[in-house]
Amino acid sequence: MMEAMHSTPRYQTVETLQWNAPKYVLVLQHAASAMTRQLTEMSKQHPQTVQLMLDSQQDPALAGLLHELETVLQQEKAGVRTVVCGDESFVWTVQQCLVGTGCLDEEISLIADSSSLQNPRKKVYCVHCGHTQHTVKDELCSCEQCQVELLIRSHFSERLGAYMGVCANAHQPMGALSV
Amino acid sequence: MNPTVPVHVTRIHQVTPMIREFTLAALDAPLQPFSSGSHVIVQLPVEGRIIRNAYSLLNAPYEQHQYQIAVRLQENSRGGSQYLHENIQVGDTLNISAPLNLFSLNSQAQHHVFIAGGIGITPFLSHMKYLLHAGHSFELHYACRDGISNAYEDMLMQLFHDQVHIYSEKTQRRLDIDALLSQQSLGSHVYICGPERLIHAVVDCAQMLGWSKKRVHWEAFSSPAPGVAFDAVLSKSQRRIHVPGDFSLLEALEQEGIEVPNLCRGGVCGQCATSYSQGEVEHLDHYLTVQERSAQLMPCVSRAKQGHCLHLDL
Repeated sequence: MMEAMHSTPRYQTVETLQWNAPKYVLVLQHAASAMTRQLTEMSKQHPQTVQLMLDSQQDPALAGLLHELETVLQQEKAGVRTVVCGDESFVWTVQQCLVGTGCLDEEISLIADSSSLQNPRKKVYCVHCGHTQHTVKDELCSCEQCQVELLIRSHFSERLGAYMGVCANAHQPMGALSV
Repeated sequence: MNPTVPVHVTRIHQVTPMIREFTLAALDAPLQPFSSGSHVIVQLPVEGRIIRNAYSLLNAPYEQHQYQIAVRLQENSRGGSQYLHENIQVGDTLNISAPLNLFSLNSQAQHHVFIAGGIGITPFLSHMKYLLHAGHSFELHYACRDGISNAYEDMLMQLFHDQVHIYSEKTQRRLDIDALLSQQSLGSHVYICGPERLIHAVVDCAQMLGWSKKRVHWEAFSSPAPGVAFDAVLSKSQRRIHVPGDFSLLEALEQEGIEVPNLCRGGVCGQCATSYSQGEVEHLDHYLTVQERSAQLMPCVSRAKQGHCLHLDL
């Protein structure tokens, strides 16, 4: 990853969570991760906590989790805090769902569990064709749609939940298709 | 600097014994359009000086041919509202600023909750007329005193019966802020206009409930409170000016021909923030952070502490 810039997300850590709001919803990606265990343990001290866990890393499970989350939040009152923990791809997908239901930035804590997971994924937006894809790569990846070799910039779009991918080699503007 | 717009008064309506409504129309050029929640600064010549008071526009933003303001007669103040009540007649000309909005609706909110205290009802009249037209969801909670500050109560009950809740002696109801905020869903945003203690009560309650600060919007135009006279040294221009007790620092600077960019003149917009290097300041604004206050002040409302002289970077 390139050097961090103004738009590069800064995530919260388990240690900096305040636990001072009346109610919390935890949204967790991996039951087995150390951070998940730590959060689950901490949340036991807080009487008002709802926990949602992704039960499989397949796409239908994620859609199911987001649906469940929306249902939970529709019953909740303003002021509920949400803590999301998982890889970057997961936390920003959940974040978009939260914002859609009316949660504001300060009411959401995102914790990127990149260190304890194997192959943490993030989203990359190809600025050439507009395609968003998931990747485990850090610096370079190839666009699935237009095949341009992309440099993954640290420039991040919160709206898209993705890093900006730009053509890595100006001499090969069409990626693998360049002759 | 906000240019001056001359307008003429086309209608004056006594809303309550204490509140007068003024309708203003264009004199030369057509009036600028405005969004709901906007205010104008009205210039009032009182005792050889110009007092500038901010008033919210209360008419619907679709009415582009006129501006309407409602003015509560304030006793023990600098005389701006008294001048409007006692001296201004239909046909008179007033100088105002172009409309400015520091209290707009949040575009992402799914439900707007308005809390008004007394004359603080005015920006919400414009918001509600707009929302009625746009078909968005809202409710109004209006605390007022019968016969004094219950402006537009009857009109509100007629137009928006189901969305309006009045708290007064007549209705024998009291506003329960905690109960009101506790029942709000995630799409709600709250707006307050009224006395400072009402704003504080709502802001504190929202914080207790875990709300983001960005869910709570408020507007409080406080005319600069009179204080103790003091001197200010202008470091860059090497001048010394005197600020009388009933002048704000901003007004005293303007009197001396020193222009400081400004918009709200009530300590909320931050435009007039000025750096200072010496002297102890009585900060009365709602804008600067504690850190910023060590080097900046807002001359529209803030003053020197008793016995201090301020050194400004002007």
